[in-house]
Amino acid sequence: MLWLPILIPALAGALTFLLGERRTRRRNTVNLIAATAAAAATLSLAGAAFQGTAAQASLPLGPGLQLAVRGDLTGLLFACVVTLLWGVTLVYAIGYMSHDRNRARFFGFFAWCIAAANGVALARDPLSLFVFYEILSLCTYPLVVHSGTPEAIAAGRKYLLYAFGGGAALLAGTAWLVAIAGPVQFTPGGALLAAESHTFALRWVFALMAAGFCVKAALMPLHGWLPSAMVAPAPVSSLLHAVAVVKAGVFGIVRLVNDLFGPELATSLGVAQPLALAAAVTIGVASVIALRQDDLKRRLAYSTVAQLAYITLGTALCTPLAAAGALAHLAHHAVMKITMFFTVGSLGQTLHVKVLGTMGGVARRMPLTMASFSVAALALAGVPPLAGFASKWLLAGGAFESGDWWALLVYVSGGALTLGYMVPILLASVRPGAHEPAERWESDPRMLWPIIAVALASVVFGVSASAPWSPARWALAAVSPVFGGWTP
Amino acid sequence: MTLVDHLPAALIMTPLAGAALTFVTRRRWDPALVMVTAVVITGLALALSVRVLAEGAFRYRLGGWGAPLGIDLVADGISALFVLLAAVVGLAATAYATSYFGTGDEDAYGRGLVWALWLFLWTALNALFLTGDVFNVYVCLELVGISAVALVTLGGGADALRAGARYLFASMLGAMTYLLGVALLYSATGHLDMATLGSAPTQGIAASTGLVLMVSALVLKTALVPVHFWLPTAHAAAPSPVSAVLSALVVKGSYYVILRLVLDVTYPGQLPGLDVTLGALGAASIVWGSVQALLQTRVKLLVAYSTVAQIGYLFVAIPLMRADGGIVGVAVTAAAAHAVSHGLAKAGFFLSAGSLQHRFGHDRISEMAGAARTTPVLAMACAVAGVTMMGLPPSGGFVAKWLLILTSINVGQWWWAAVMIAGGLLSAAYTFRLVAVFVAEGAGDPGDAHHPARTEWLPLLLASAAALLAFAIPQIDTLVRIGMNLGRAEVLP
Amino acid sequence: MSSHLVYALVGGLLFSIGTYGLIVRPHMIHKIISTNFMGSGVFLVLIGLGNRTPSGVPDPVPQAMVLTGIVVTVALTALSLAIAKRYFSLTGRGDISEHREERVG
Repeated sequence: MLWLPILIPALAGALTFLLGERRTRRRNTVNLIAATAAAAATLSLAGAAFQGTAAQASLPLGPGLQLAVRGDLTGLLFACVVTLLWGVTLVYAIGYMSHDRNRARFFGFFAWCIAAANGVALARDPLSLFVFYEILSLCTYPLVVHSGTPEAIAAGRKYLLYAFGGGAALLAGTAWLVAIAGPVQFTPGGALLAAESHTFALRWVFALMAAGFCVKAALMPLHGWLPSAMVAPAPVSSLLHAVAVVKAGVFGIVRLVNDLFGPELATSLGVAQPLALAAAVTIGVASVIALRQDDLKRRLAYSTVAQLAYITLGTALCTPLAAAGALAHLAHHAVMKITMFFTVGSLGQTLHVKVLGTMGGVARRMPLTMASFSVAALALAGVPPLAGFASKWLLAGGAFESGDWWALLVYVSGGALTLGYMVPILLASVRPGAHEPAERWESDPRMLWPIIAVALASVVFGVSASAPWSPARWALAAVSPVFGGWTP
Repeated sequence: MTLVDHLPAALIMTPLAGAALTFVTRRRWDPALVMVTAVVITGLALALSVRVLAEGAFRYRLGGWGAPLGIDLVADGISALFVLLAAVVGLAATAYATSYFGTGDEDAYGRGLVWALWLFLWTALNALFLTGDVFNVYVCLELVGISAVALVTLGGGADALRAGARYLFASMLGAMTYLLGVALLYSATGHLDMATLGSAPTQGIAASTGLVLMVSALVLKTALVPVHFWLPTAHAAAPSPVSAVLSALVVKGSYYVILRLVLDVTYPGQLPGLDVTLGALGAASIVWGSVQALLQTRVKLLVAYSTVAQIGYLFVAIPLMRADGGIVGVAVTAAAAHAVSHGLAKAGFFLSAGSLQHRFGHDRISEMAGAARTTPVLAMACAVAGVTMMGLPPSGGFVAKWLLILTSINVGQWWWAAVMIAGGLLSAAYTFRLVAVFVAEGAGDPGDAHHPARTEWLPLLLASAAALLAFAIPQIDTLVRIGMNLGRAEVLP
Repeated sequence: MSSHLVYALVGGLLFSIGTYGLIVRPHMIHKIISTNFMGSGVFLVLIGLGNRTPSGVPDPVPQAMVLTGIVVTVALTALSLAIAKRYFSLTGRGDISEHREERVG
């Protein structure tokens, strides 16, 4: 049962490949059914986890080796984000890619990425996480180079360099870890009691593993692959930036700090502080770079770099509220950013608008789309009572708790800069401008409804942040065991 | 005695009988005959593995003589595993070859000679994997050499002849050196049977020199850097099903003998310089082979250099096997797992390269743009095979690489781990160089001729088998440990 | 020095000469002759070194090895001659030194 969130998308992917390019309707049906089934499975697993029963399963891979999964709250939060957004993105992608020549290949690898991301979410120990992490790198490559143009191939090459370089670091770190500490599993609060004396080795292990994760998490200066990867189709960018790949990176950091080393050990070893510092710098620098981007997707890319650093910073501060805020932001940012990427994709596909300069008149032509975008943008900036505000409130509370006033400063200026790079988009859209006579109002409904849906989610998650099923509450429950059963 | 007891002999006799029969039957029936033989051999190999798993290792006295007068065949875990690998790859390659070679005109393929040679090669390989006598190894190595060279040159062109001739001379050099080593070893110990040699420590200058000569000769035949020069051209110039068998099985044959010498004949701690030398040369192979693969402009040469690189991993495992004064079982399992997954994946890679060459009419990489769209199955097969080469999950290659890395850190020789991680990155470089061309916009292949489905799906199946092998590693581990080292030295976990 | 050892040493010398010829000489016929030198050298070593039965009866195993070796060498020589002949008829040349085209694809 626990394998379902991984097996269902994997099977769907295989079936998609076998069905081939021509049987479009059957292929789409398979994928949509799979997405629904996977969502159902993940949600029911989450329900069980909330009751307190965390299921486990494993598959032997060799002498002393196994592929192991566990359904704990942290992992299931990520898995639910991935699986639910898969369904939404599928609808959008079916609309967006309706004239593409290689859809089978696209949807097949798309499904496999979801399977791998779910694997990362549910992995029980560092080796299993590494296995799924690398599978994720492999399966995203065909999506990045999908269009086959020279720019796409070059972007793919850059992606490979970063992804596999990071993978090599992660491999070295994980192997070293297993050599000194044995086959440890992720345990809330840390699992390295036995190896505490190897401080030199542990510091290097942390550095290597963090480097590996930070490549996908796009922490500066390892973020270079992300803006170039914008050459991929919009559904891929949404997937990369909101759902699977980058979130897998920060999720890895969450596991590293919370469940492998543990907040106490990370602080006492002195490895959490540099990470926090790097994250803070990233927030500032990336937001400033975003201000100057004319291309919409690149602007959003740098925004993602900055927002991910919020999650990293929160985790690295090693306090309960900050950690909860980080996890909540993982979910909230996913919905908010995906709205924006869907919008930009829609603008590109329907109106051929890709750059800030040509955005005049868009609000009149596609009002619903732009309204959704505005909601998401405000949410991202932390405007109450939207989703972004809820997670940033928690993050700020965490900084308060630990006395890191400088982090508060970073959050506030980050929020201001977010407004700084989002508002011009909104303003540009309401400027007067001309576009081709409209055969239809708005865009393809398969692209429109997902945008509205995820925008609504950013509202709902924020407004009902204190409801028991909200991501914010979920995050609080998830980090509780990490800090020894702490409750807010 | 039932059939099951005669399995080792049956495994050698069956392909031999099949080969003889191809001379007698009509040319038209040859492909079917060979397929039937292949299926029978696969069944026998499976039966052997089941028997070894169930009842442990056993020795078969050929002709009832028994050592030291006669030759014993030894069926333990490692031999059963390699025989099974040969069977699976051979079966797939045979199925592919029946379409590739066809039964047409008057050339050598048409005259049916290829099938006899094919089965002779299989006979020789099975004999090599099952023999328990060091001189018999020489005979089997020469048999493998003859069959392989003949198959390589069967293409007929000057290129194939030249590549085949270089292969032949390298093979003969290796075999003669090996025989010289056997002569020295025999003069020092008076034994030829591996088990007997193993139980009486082989000391002294003559014996050690003999062993070193034997290992050096086998190293030449396994194409370790710097004596790898004959492999890339030979494997690239041969017809694709032949290349598949060459890269997947033939090089593993001489490696298998090295494994036997290292594990069974020498005692732990003997010839320590040998371990480090082999490991260092293996590391050099990994780097050099990958770099050369990256520079190639033709698919088959790229795949052939990839073989050189992957063999390096097998040699890096050797110092890890004999560390700590005993036999480190995990390292042996890892090497065996790597050999098996590489065998499957490389066979798939070569078969898909052959199919691509058939479709495009050439094998120049730069002109294969768009293949991912027109021949998605083949492109996928190359990519999946590449995953095993890179040692990335999910693949048997990953599990093997992980086990080797972990072992090297555990025994304190972490530099091998660094080389293997670097090797993985280099493999990624040449694999993705190929995949990037496939995915790029392009016309793809002309796509007019009709190609049997199995030329597409067999490579993918083989490559996928290598990928899924990751989940069978525990079984491989169990198998490999049966009869390992004849129960002599202490086998560390 | 016993006569057996002389055989063995001469065999080693022949082996070295053959190896040198095989590696250095580019022409195929030279290489084939060199391999036969190597073979003869090894056989001499086998006979020279392998005569060890304490009771004075000649040890039959090395003789069996030599006979097998001769047979194998003859077969291989035949194959290499066939390849050399065919290569010569195709290209008019007898040396198989490396060509630049076949190295880097």
